[in-house]
Amino acid sequence: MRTFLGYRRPDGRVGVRNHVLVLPTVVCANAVVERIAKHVPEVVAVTHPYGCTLDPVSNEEMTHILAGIASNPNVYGAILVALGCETVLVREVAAQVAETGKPVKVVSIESEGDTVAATEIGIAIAECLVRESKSASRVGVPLSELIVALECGASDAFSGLTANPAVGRASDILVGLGATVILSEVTEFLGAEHILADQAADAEVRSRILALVARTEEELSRIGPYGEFSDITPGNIAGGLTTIEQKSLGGIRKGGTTPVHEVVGYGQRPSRSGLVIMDTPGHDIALNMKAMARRAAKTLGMSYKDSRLIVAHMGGGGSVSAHVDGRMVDLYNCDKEGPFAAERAGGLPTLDLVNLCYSGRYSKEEVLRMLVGGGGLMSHLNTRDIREIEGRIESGDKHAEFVLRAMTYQFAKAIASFSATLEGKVDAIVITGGMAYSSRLVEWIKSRVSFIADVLVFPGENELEALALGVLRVLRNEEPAKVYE
Amino acid sequence: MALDERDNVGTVLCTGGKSEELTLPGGGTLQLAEDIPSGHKVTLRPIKKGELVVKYGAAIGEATCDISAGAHVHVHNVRSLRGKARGAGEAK
Repeated sequence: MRTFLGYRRPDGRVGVRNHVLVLPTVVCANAVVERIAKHVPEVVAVTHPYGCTLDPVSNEEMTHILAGIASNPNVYGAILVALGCETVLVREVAAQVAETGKPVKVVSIESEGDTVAATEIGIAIAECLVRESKSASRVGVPLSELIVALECGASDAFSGLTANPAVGRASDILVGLGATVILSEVTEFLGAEHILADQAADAEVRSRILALVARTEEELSRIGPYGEFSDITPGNIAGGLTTIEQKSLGGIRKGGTTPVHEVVGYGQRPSRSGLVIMDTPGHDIALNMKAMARRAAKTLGMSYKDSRLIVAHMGGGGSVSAHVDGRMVDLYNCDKEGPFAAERAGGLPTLDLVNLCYSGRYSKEEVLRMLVGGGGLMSHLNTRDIREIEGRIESGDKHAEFVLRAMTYQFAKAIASFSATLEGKVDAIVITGGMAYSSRLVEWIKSRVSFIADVLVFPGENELEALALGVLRVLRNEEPAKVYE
Repeated sequence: MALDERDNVGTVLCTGGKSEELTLPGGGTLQLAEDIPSGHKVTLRPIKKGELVVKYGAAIGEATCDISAGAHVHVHNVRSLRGKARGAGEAK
């Protein structure tokens, strides 16, 4: 029997790492978590944009997911940092983690008085836990207790020829030795699900795989009449991938050739070994925007169908969309038009662009790279990191300030143009995406568009929540499931 | 490189120039009808408009026009049968 060296946890599960985890229960506690991690570099800090929604189902899921992360056997002990007023209750997360028998400590900013006090306490607890964790030691453990999760990363045409098949061979070997291998990111199955379905160990698994992909495809196709969101990115295309089928066929190879024994939900533990599929999405701006639109409607006390919204997503890429009658009816996709974003050039003067393309100075790939990946803030300031840019502004960098203002100006124009689309009747403007964490950026946009409607800010990406909520709406009979034939 | 004998396209490993002759894995050669960048696909035999483009032994899309042998196969002459092509109803 083959073995590996692992840390046996009190609940019997085995990890290959011995982390002290610092985890906020809500986005407001992120700063404290980051400061603790700065002072105690041995910890693993995981920040996130969630933790406070008006949807009780979301709260329950978030509690479960946060507890799941902290319960992972790679974690020796966890420090949960709460604000105190959020809707995800830290005592519930802590209780679930405590069931594993591992040390879990809670730091509540409100109880300590303020973030400074909470940070001090957090640092002390972290140092103590790190010292304690050194007492854990590894033992020989049968490979049947090993769980390996597979992630995709920036596919090109070679991924399906080299990297993924190589990982697939490793998956086959591990499964053969009794381990569990988890394949996920359902959006990366589109076009290849018939192969995965054929690999199912039984009819039930087979139909679950097909249902999973059908639901995901339905969510993607409901993006309104334009269908602008490509399943493959400009980077994929430049690298030689032509269609989602080609990408998926290459992608699924990383799971290997053994039968798929189970399909589990997001954050659900596999109940058996072998190859397992977990329902998780790839990253999807479209889903995030729709999720944010629905959330905004809820915040306003309306149904999504009755609301009239403008949603601006500002991340590495970006987009601005108009929503009415429960659909997205118009859109700027920064990959090719509209405002420039962190690394996208957005819309450009057409004549100048044509002259650039035919100047003989650049290849097509080089020009595409200027537009996507190397455009926007990246091209002006050599960074796409909003925190770094804000740091520069605070140190007096006038150019950085000018560029950031220019970006907010362009987004504000795009947002305002959709007030025409919605005939001046706008219930709310939503700003979302990673850059929405910057209050400076948000204020600059607000100053130009708040005359149109109230501005709601939901920082970060919530597409994972979006998919989960979509399934729940079907389960609760709030929406019919679309049958895929 | 072609991975499956049912494939009608292969992947060019190193950027190939027009008229260059490539050795096929199963034996024989193929002359490139045009420049093809590394990682991109080339037809192993002529493909007719509407015919399925096959890679990994499965359909990755359909040809939007006739394609001769040794030609570049990519977003300009292949469209997906899934995803946004289905949902939007508009072919690229």
